[in-house]
Amino acid sequence: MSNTMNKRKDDKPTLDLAGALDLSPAPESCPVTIKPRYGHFIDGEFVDGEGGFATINPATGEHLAEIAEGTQAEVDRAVKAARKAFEGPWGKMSGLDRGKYLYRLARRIQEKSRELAVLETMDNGKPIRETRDVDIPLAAQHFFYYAGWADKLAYAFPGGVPKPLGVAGQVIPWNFPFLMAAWKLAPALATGNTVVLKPAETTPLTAMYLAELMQEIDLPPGVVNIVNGMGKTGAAVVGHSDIDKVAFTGSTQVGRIIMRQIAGSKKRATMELGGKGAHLVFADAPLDQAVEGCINGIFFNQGHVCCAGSRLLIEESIAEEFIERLKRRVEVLRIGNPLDKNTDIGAINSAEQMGTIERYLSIGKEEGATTWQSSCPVPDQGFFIRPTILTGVSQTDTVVREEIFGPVLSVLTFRTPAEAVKKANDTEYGLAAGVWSEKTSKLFEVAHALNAGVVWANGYNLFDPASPFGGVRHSGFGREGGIAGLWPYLADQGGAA
Amino acid sequence: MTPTFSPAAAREWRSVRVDDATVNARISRARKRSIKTESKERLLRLALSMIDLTTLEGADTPEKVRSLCRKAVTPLAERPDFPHTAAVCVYPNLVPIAAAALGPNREVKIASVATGFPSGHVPLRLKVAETEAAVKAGADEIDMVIDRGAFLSGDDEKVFSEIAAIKAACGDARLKVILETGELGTLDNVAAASRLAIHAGADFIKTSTGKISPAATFPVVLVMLEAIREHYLETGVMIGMKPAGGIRDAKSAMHHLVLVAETLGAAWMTPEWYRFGASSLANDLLRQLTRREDGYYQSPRRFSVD
Amino acid sequence: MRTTVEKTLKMYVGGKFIRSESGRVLPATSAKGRPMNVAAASRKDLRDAIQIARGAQKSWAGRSAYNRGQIFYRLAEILEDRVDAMPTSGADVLAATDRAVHFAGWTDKITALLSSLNPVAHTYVNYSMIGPMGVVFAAPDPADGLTGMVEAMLGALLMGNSVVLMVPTASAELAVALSEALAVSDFPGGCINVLTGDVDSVVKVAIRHDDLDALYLLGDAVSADLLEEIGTENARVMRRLVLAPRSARPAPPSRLAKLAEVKTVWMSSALMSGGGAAY
Repeated sequence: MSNTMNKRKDDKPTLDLAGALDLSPAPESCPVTIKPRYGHFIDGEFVDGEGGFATINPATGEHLAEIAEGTQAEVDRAVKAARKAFEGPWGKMSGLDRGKYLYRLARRIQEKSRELAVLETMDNGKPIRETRDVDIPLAAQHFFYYAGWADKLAYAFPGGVPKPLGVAGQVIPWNFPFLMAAWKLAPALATGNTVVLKPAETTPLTAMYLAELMQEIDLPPGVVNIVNGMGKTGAAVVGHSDIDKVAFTGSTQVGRIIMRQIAGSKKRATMELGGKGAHLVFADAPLDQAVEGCINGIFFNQGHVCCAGSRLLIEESIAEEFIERLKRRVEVLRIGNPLDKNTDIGAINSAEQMGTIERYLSIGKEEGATTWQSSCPVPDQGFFIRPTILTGVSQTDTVVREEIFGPVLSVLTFRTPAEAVKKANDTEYGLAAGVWSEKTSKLFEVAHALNAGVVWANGYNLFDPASPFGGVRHSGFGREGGIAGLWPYLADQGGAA
Repeated sequence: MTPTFSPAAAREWRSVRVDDATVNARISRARKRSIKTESKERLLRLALSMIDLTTLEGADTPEKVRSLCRKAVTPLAERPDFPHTAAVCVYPNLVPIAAAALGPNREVKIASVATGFPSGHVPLRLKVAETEAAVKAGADEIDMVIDRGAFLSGDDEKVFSEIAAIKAACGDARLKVILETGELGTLDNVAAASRLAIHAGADFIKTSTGKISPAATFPVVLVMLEAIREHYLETGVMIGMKPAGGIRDAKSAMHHLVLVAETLGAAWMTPEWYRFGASSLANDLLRQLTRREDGYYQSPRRFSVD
Repeated sequence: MRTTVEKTLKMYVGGKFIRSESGRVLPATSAKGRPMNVAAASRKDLRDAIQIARGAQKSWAGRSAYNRGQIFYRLAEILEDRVDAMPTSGADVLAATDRAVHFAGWTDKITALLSSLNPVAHTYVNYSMIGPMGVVFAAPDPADGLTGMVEAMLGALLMGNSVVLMVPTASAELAVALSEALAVSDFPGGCINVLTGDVDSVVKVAIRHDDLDALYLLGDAVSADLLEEIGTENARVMRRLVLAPRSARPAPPSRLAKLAEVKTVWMSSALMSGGGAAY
């Protein structure tokens, strides 16, 4: 018996990876009830609201529900309810009791995690694998983590008893609808603030489900108010004169509009904005794991991740081989029905975002990039884009400079650590970066030299409530997670006696 | 042609680095693959056909080996459509019993452990003699153990030359080289030992003897599959893979097949290139297969112990 | 009138309820005024408990802080659920519940507060992190009821230590009720063990057991004249003695720090300084 019987003498040996594993559909089954219409959640009550727009399932185009568009009057009522709760029960409550409400919420989320995961996947298009394993459990963990701070703030800020700011206006994006709600709400509530939250217009369903859970746990009315709507409603929230604190996650462009809008007011702000994360792979990296890191970095959540590692910088001596490794791994990723448990890459969230990504792909081509896409079949309907790798690009190219917010990886090379750092820092953004090497001194020094709020060494897209997250420069300011996540919601106190 | 040892090559095998945290993340991802309906049926049958049905006890008897052979040929009497296992795996002394039980035109191969299994602490000439005897008695495949002590002390040349010597003694029999990964300590070592074994002449690399825990863990298997992939891409030569020890349930077997498919591709999805060294796995596969067909979840008692 | 069924009071070791291996019991009176026999921990019981605690410590500390916090919180859920069934006042049970909630929130935060990144004048990253000491022998003040037991136990557990909790005979019935709550709160067997009996005599054995890393004594857990003997024996093996006031308030971080070790790591981070390259 000869081992070389399968040798392809005519060509380089290749692996038959695509389609090697033919898996039958494995759809997640969990019936969720979606109401025909959702209004707002104000002062502990669901209200019908006015007007409306549709939220759809981006994987099928199916209409899911009609969503009310919040008016100025509704925003007024929400802010008023939040103020009343801040000056009333919530503001007077002990930290331990505030914490207990957050613990209750964490537990409810854990109990309802399956339904939340299905709902999130239907509304957003991301795979159930991610909502089930990342978005929902991490959201529960976030509430659990900040619940524990509520009675310990004096230890986090020695020298004074920290005071909350008041009413926070929070506007969140569509890429992690439920998780971002948790990131915003948990620290705000733990520190004693009350909230008016505006979910993204394409993904409001899990926030409204959260409102139901808040009713179930008897959260005092007005502590959290949710007003649905488009950008105009968001502007009404952050611009409201009785809001003390603005917290925004979204694009740098909209962040800038909000910053202008609140200029001159005494509102405190935190901004978690766009990014163009650099992912550095040195020749001494554990290569197969670095490949895995790159996959997690750019194809997690269809690349709809502000901290996505969208710029891959490879040490030139291994670049060609590394790209081959990367392509082989991408070939086994499955694109398709996000509710299928085996789907790795789901649907692009909206027609609009699909258009944006396609526009960038054609700009890339015009600027001379070589485009490679995996051979995985994609569904006929819904918004899908194959994982894409752009090579032959340079620092000046649009696809290297601008945030694409899709499953598109631009690949560059470097020769020395200094060049790697220089190229990585050649961006207006500064949210996150990754470094791969088996040499510890290199990991540390390069990680410290990168201008980013978060750097992963031999890993990427790792999140934990105990770890602060947030960016520098055009990626924003303020942190979510950890002790640093408390700072933006507390007033300065005292000073040395 | 006997492969020759080169210190420079050995340094290269030893230079491969593996990040354990990311390997674990990759494994956890593979193990979340959900295998249902038709694909489950197909993979259960495939897994059954990949088993080296094994008995390696001091108390093994001729009767037990004969019984094992019957089960290998017909895993479940009332279901002749189920595939036979790839091989039976026994001690050298029992190879003649298996050869007699399976007959001259057997489809089930006979694998024999050799080289002082499981510790390998015997002189090389005895290892060679034991191998030759097993082959002469009818073994189609030899499962040898490497000298872990030599590997861990850095004596790659000794490990290499022993494998090469056993390979020569195998003649036409295929050689499976057992790394005993549970004694190697790190994934870096598993990566290095895999490459060493492949270059020294292994037809298959195999995780474990089954006598040491941990045995065929997923991270170890992935690192070995990656070594096989590297070798194939460099040379065009396919090497087989055999996880052995600790794989007891159908679900684990399915997820091992996921790793093979996603790392090496379709060409390895055959008993020719992939084996499970297992004893109790067969019964769980049968249990899942019959449930798929009857709709009843069988008591494990329905299936014979050997 | 119905004849009541009376519970045998056992100790909780390695996730199991056991009698004293010595077969000895001490007389006490139940909350309902009935005579009871309390298992009296022997020298061998203590040795067994320490050995089991030692075996369980690494895996307890190895669990994620989040997981440990959830287990503490689960204890709070169980305690509140049993508020009317515990042989102590409702206020004591609720205070103990709140104490468990409080400590549940520390598991994933205390490291961040007590560890540090140290700005050394070298091209090294230097950080100090807190970690567990190992096996802690903890004893509450006898007058602090359930709250005292929960305080003594969780403070040491939260730092990743495993614990042998020693409860006096008079509180044994309550200690058993607490053990039963622990047994259904997802604590891995052996990380928390509860012994009952004569505290002073068990402490005298404990300080002569060298595989014990610290003693954590709250309020008047032991008689005052025992302290000198403890100090003398501890000097032999450099064992830590953590003395704390009664359990009116939860242990602050400054005390939790005493239930931990500090390790400092120097990590080279000079890569390009030698080569002269700059960014």
